[in-house]
Amino acid sequence: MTIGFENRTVRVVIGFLTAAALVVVYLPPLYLVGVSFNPALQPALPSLGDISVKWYVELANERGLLAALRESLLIATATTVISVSVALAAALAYLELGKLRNAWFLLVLMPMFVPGLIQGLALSVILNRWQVVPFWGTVAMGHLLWALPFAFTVILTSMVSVRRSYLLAAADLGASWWQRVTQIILPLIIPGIVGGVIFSFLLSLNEFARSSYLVGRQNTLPLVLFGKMNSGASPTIYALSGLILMASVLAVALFMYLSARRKRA
Amino acid sequence: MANSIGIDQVSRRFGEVVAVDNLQLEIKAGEFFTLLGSSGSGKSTLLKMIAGFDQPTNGCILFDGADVTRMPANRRPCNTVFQDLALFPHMSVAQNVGYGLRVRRLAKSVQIEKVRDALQLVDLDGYQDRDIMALSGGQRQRVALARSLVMEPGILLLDEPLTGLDERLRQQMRDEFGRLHKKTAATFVLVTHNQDEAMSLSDRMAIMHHGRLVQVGTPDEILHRPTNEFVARFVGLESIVVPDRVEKRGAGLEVIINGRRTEIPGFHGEVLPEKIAIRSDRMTLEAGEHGIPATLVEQHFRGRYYECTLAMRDDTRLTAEISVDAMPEGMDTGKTTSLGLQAGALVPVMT
Repeated sequence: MTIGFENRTVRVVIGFLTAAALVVVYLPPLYLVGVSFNPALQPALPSLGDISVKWYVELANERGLLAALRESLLIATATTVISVSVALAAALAYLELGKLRNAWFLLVLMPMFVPGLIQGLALSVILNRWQVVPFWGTVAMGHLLWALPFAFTVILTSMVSVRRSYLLAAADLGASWWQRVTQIILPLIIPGIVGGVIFSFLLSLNEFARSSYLVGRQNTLPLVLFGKMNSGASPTIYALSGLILMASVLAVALFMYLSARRKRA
Repeated sequence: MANSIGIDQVSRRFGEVVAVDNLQLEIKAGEFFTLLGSSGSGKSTLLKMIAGFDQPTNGCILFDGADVTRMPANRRPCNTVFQDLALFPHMSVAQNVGYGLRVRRLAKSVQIEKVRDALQLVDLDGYQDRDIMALSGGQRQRVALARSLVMEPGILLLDEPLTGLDERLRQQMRDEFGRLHKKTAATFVLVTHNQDEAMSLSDRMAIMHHGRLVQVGTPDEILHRPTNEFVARFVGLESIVVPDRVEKRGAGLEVIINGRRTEIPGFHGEVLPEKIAIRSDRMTLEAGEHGIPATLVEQHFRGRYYECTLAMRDDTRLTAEISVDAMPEGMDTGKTTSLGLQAGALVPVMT
């Protein structure tokens, strides 16, 4: 390897750039978490003696925020269940398809490239025409289009660990199609399924553009947070953000842990 | 209990490509049968159709005379040992071996017992809880065998299972196949491109080329009476000459090669062979003018013998393996020598 890593100057420069990139990416959210533990009203880092969970406690009284959180969790759960099931079916179909594979892959992936504002608008126009009153289900519909391509990609990637000969061998030993799916394919792609669940859930939880068109009487969390930011925020939103951030990190860590354990086996 | 296999006018086409071409073959119950051929000869396609992973374009597959052509793989009384073994990586040794029994919903205690018996059969009892990834290549091979044999199949299909093993392990596993065949009394069908494997294991074998059977017979028949030059070369008879003349003489043949008269005993056919193969390990070189005149073109030292390339009068090349102490004094490339033939050196090749 002669890409210059042995050169001292090059190493220092690359090290500096890496550190700078990491700071830019990770510092703002960490700052936010820090702010959420500051009991003062003005957003700033707390001094060590002042650290307090005041806003986290206060959060329990914020009816509007909590209702939005509940709505968002409901939508995220529905989106996750449907998107992972459909993605799994789509990935199994991909496994069976011959020449049509690439076309199928693109077809399922396509919604990822449609801008959320346009997709949300389009869906809301159609639902309006069919006289569907917007509710959490219509939001989940929009989120499904956003989450499905990601879940599909993650599950499909994990399918490489399913060799064709495993399925032939299972059939050879008497297994029906259903047994091959449940006893051979599913156990081998568990990391992909877990990944699909986490992706779908987080993508739905964060989604803004599509939600803004499709939402019913109860706003989702990102919509409420955005509204509150504009109308002079109560620091409870920092507490809520911190809570969501920490939950996300935990979820991703769990996924990494599971797939690492898988690889070792 | 072993099943017989009937291949009745079976063809398999992939678009324009004919992988198996109107093939007719009868494999007897309980025999060790080998399909020998190079890659692309159609031998693996034929095996897939017997296993039920592929369907013929035309023709029928019969087990014990009953048509199974449209029967799916999971209902056929045959099991396959795959080239890549296809052991399930998320299961232990016992779970792999017991998978077919679990699918059959046998009682847990019966499963445990049968798995133990199968592992005993391949010398791996006690390895039940091991991880597949923690096994050596030879051990994985045995697990794959046990996983098939635990099903007590009437037919065991072996799809080039020895590729990827080193030479010593290949020979060990080859002996293992022979032993297991005797013990289980099932019909074994082996697909391979290795003629030594085919010769040493088979009761009967078929040589495949371009989707057709070139010759079917016992290893002995194929080695001593190859139907044509392709078969002769495939089983290692590389030195093939067109004799000056061939005549029937009593119970044998009189052959004239390079002007010298010699005999092949025990030839009973009516049609005379067009070519003669000379076994490289049955040739000698002599100083005199007793044998067939030939010119030494090349010689390479191979450890225990010299590999000598000889040119005949019509420039046909022969390869002779001359043991180190049988090499005449002063022999060198470019010199004319006299080729002697030991008993059994000549093999008639029909076309």
